[in-house]
Amino acid sequence: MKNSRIAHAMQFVGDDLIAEACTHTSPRHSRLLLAAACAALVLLGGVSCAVYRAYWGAGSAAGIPPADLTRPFETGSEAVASGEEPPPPAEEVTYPKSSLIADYTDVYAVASVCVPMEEAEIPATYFSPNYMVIFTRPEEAGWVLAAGDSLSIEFTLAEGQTCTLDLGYIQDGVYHDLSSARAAAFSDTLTAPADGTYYFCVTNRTSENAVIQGGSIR
Amino acid sequence: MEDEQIIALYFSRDELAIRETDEKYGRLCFQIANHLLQSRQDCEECVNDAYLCLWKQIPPQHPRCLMAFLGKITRNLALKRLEYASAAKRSPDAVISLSELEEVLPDRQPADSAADDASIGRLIDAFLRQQKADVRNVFLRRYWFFDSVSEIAARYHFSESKVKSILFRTRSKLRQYLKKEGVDV
Repeated sequence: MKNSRIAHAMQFVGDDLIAEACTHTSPRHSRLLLAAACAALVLLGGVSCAVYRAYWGAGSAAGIPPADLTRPFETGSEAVASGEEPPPPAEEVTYPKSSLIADYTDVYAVASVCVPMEEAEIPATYFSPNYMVIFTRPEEAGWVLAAGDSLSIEFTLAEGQTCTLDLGYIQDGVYHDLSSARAAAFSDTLTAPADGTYYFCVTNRTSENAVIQGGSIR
Repeated sequence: MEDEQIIALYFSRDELAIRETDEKYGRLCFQIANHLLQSRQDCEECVNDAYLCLWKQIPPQHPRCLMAFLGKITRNLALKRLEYASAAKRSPDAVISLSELEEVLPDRQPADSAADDASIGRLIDAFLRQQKADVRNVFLRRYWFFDSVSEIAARYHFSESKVKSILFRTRSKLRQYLKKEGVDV
């Protein structure tokens, strides 16, 4: 029996697309399931759980109780093994990809979101599994470095949280790895290999939201 | 257990890694194999072969996404088994899916099929990234996971006719895209 060339060629489709196809459900499906879940939860008085389901993606963590953001998703091993994830929150699930990275072929992130900073301070931020946050100056400006210049990042997670995070940087549209660790606080330094515009980025490799309490880039 | 912890077990050559992999992804792997092969025994053998392959590849490989990495291994092994399986052991849905893909790009044996697969695969990847998420995922569920049309319709709460329509239009667009990129269709 012949096998299609395309069937074999599709082995080379990016891992992030495969992971997305494993976990993505339709917005309508999400809203129907969420409506059913909310109705059940209201009856049981579990409103906080419905509120928690709204925190998917990446955004400001300011003013949100960390417990709401860091509660693990209900992915029992059986659910994960079947390729199913709990339905994401009320908003339509979109997977933004920042244009600061020109080619995502070797970038293993479902989505990437820019997080603008004020001065040198990293704001309180949450981001979901396999989401990448890219720290920027206002209007998505980066850090212009000459070859040999150094730039450092440091940040801490919400109290009591440890996560596996990949740290990397973007140099003129190209993503580069820096380090990967499971910790409660992170720091790293990049030394610019060439003149260019640089951004730090962090990707969440944990099965719950990562919540950055604060930090800085200097 | 987190993927990074499981990968760490592979690096330290701890056989617990296989058990943890099976607990977390065994059902997904079986589903992938089952969509291609009808025989439970063949599926179980395929999944076990995938675990062995994973054990041999990590280290030195350090996959970013363990689920997708293992899924690809399983799919590849299942596709190879499909080539040699008797008609009775092949999933009818997989056979139909493969015949649909033949419409996009006829099956030929180029001189260097491995390189050809990689270059076409990268084109398909680029094409899929240009599509809307629903379209992309329907396409992948059909031609990567080999879900049936009814399974896809149930997953996304679409009608079966909508799923067929999405697949038909996307196959046509992919064929045009590959032709434009210089692939001999």
